[in-house]
Amino acid sequence: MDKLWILFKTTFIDNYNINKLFSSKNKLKLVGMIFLVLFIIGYLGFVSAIYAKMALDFFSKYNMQYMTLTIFAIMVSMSIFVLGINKSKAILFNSKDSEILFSMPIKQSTIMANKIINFMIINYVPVVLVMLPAFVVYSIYVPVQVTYYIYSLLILLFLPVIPTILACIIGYAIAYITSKSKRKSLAEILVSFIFIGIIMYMSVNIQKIGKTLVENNVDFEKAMKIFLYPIYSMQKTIVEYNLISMLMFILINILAFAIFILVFNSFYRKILLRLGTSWTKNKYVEKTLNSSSVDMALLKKELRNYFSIPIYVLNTIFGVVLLLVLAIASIFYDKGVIYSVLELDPTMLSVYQMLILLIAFVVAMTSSTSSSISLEGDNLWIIKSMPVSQRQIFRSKILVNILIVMPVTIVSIILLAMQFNITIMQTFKLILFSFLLNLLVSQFGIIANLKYPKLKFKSPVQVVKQGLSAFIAIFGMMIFLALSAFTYFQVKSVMSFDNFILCLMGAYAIIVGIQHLVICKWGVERFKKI
Amino acid sequence: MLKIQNLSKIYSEGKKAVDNISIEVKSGEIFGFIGHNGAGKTTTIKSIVGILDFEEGDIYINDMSVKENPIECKKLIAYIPDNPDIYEQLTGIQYLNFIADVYEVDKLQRQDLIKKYAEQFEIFDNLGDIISSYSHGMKQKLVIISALIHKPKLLILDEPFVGLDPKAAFTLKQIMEELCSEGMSIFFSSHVLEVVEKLCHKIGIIKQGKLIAYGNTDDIKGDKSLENVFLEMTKNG
Repeated sequence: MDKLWILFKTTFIDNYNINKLFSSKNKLKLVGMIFLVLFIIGYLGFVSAIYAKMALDFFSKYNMQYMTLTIFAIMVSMSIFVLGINKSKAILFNSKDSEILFSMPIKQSTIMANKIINFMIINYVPVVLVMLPAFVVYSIYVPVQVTYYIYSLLILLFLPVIPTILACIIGYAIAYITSKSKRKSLAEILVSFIFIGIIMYMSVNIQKIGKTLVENNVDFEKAMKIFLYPIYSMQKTIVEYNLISMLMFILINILAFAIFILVFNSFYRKILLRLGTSWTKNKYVEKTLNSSSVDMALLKKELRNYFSIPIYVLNTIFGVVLLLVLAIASIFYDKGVIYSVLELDPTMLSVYQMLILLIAFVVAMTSSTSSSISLEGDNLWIIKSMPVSQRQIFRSKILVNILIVMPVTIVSIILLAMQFNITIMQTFKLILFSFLLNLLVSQFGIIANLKYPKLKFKSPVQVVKQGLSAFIAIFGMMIFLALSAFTYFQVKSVMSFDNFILCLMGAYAIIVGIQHLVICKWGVERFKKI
Repeated sequence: MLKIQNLSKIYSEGKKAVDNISIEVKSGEIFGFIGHNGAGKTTTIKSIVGILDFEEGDIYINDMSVKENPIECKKLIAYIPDNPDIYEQLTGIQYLNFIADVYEVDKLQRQDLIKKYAEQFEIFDNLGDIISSYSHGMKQKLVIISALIHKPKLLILDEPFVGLDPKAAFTLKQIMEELCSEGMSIFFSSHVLEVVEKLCHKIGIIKQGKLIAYGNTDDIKGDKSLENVFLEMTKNG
C-alpha cells in the first residue's frame, strides 16, 4: 500500500505535468489557463445541469425523480466504458516506464494497480461534468436529508471503478490477441474495430431487450437488478437512504477492482513483454529499390507513421468507417431504419439535409493533423534536419487527413446518393462540401498542433486523447458546425437550403485560403521554434 | 554475489536470444560484458534485473533465485538502462526522492548520497529543474545517481558511458572502482573496450546468444589488446 502511494504520487505528478503547472513563469498565462479550464468545466457542468433539470421535470410527472440520477449514472458508466477501451490498452501496455518499474522492488500487482488508478483519474472527468451537476440539481429540487450529500460523494468516488475495469478487460483482450500477431499495429486496429462493432451491436440489442421489457410490463427495477446491480444499489441508497445498499455499492466496486488485479496480474507482464518484443529475423536480400519524389517520400512516411499507431488510427478513422458502414447498410435497409439509427426526425430534415449534416459531422470530427506534429515526439529532429521546407512537411500531414477521409467519404456519398435518389448535382455538391470542410479541418488541426505541440509523452494516448491541440481541433470544429447551423436558422426565411450550402462552401473556401496564409507565414516560423 | 546458471532466453517465435550461458561475479568484482549489437547483452541484463522472464536456467543474487524471490533480489540490485527513459515531468530531486522511497532509503542517507553524487557529477544545481529540460547526458547522470543512493550490492549497467562527457565518464569509473573496493559487485556491458580492459577483473564475450569467452581479463586477452582479441573472436559474422 505504501509503495502504491509512492508510485501513484510520482506518476500523477508526471502524467499531469503538475510541476510545469506550478512552475510556470508567466503567472498571467497560468491564471488565464486556469480560468479557461474552469470556464469550460463550468459551462459543460451547466449544460449537464440543464439536461438533469429536464430529466427531473419529466420524471417528476411519474413521481420518480430518482430516475434522473439512475439514467445519468448509466450514461456516465457507458461513456467511461466505451471511451475507455482504446485508452485502457494504451495506458496499461504502452507506457514507457514499465521496464524501469519492473527492475525495482515493487510488486507487479502494485504497478498494475497504479496504472489502473491513474486511468481512473481521467474517468473522473465525466463524473464531475455530468454526474455531479445531476446530484446538485436533484438536491435543489427534491427534499433531501444530510446523509444524501455523504452518499452522493461516495457514489461519485466509486462510480468509475466498474466501467474502468470493464474497459480494461476489453483492453486486455485486445492486447492478448494482438500480442500473438506479427503485425501488431494492424492487428490491434482490426481487433479494436471488431470489439467496438460487437459492443455497438450489443447496445442496439440491449435497447431491443429494454423495449421488450417495457412492452411486456416487466418492472424496470427488476431488470436493473439483474443487469445493472451496482446502479440498482446506488438507486436504492438514494431513494431509501439505505446504508446497506451504500455498503453493497462500495463493496461491489472494491471487489471488482481486487478481483481484476488478482486475475489479470498473472499474465500482465507476459503480454507487456510480448508486445514490446521485437528482433531482427530475416536476412535481407538485396533488391532494386524504388525511388520517390521528396513529396511522395514525405507522404509515405506520414502514412506509415499514421498506421503504426493504433490509438491514432482508431481515434481519427472511426467516424469515416461508420459512415461507410452506414452507406453499405443503406443498400439493405430502408430510409426509416437509417433515420432511426441516426436518431433524426424525417419530418424536420430532408434526406439531402440529413446527409449534409452527417457528412459535416464525420468530416469535422476527423483530424489526424491535430496530433501529427506532436506524435513526431523525440523524432522531430529527423524532419527538421531534412532539406525539405516546412510547407512540404505541413502538406504531407494535411494530405494524410485528406487521404483517410476523402476516398471513403466519396464512396459513401455515391452509395447513399444512389439509395436515397439524390440528384447528380446534389451529389457533386456533397463531395465538394466534404472536400472543403476536410481541407479546413486539416489546416485547423495543423495550426492547433503548431500552437500547442506535445512532444514529450509516455504513450501516444496522451497526445491523441488528452492533448490540448486535439481537444481544440475537435471542440473548435464542433463550435464551427454549431455556428454554421445557427447561421442557417437565422437566414432560412430569406435563403433556400441549397443556396445556403453554396454560400457556406464559399465561406469555407475563404477560410481555407486564410488558414493557408496563416500556415505559410506564422506556421513556418512557429515550426522553427518548436 | 551474481550467479547465472545455464541461462537461455527464447522469444515466442522460437528465436534463442541467449543460449545456455553461465557467469559468476563475486563480491568486489567488476565484470565486463561485450559483444556486437544484437548479440544478447541487453537480453541477459534484462533477465538479471527481472524485466524479462527466461525459460531455462536460473539467476541467483546473493544465493537467492530471481525467479523465486524477485522482490528481495531487486532490493539488492541497481539497474542503469542503456536509454534513460524516466519520468520527464518530475524534477530531478523528485525522481531521486521517488527512487529513495521505493528502496526505503532513510532520510539522512538519501540526503547525504544525493548531495555527494550530484556534486560529483556536477548536476546538483539542476536538481530542482524538470527532467524534460535535461540533456541526454544529464539524464544519464541522474539515473546513475538514482542507482547509487540505495547502496546496492550489485550494480548492473547497460552501456553506462553512452552520452556522458569525459569528466563524468571518469567520475563514473572512479566511483565504480571505489564501490568495488567496498565490496559491491558490478556487471556492465559496453562497447568501449579500452574501459572494459582497464576496469574489469573478469570479462565475457557473447556472440549470437552464446558465451564464446569468459574468464579473468588477463587470461582472455593474454599479451594482445582486448580489441584485437574481441575482433578475432567475433569475426565471420
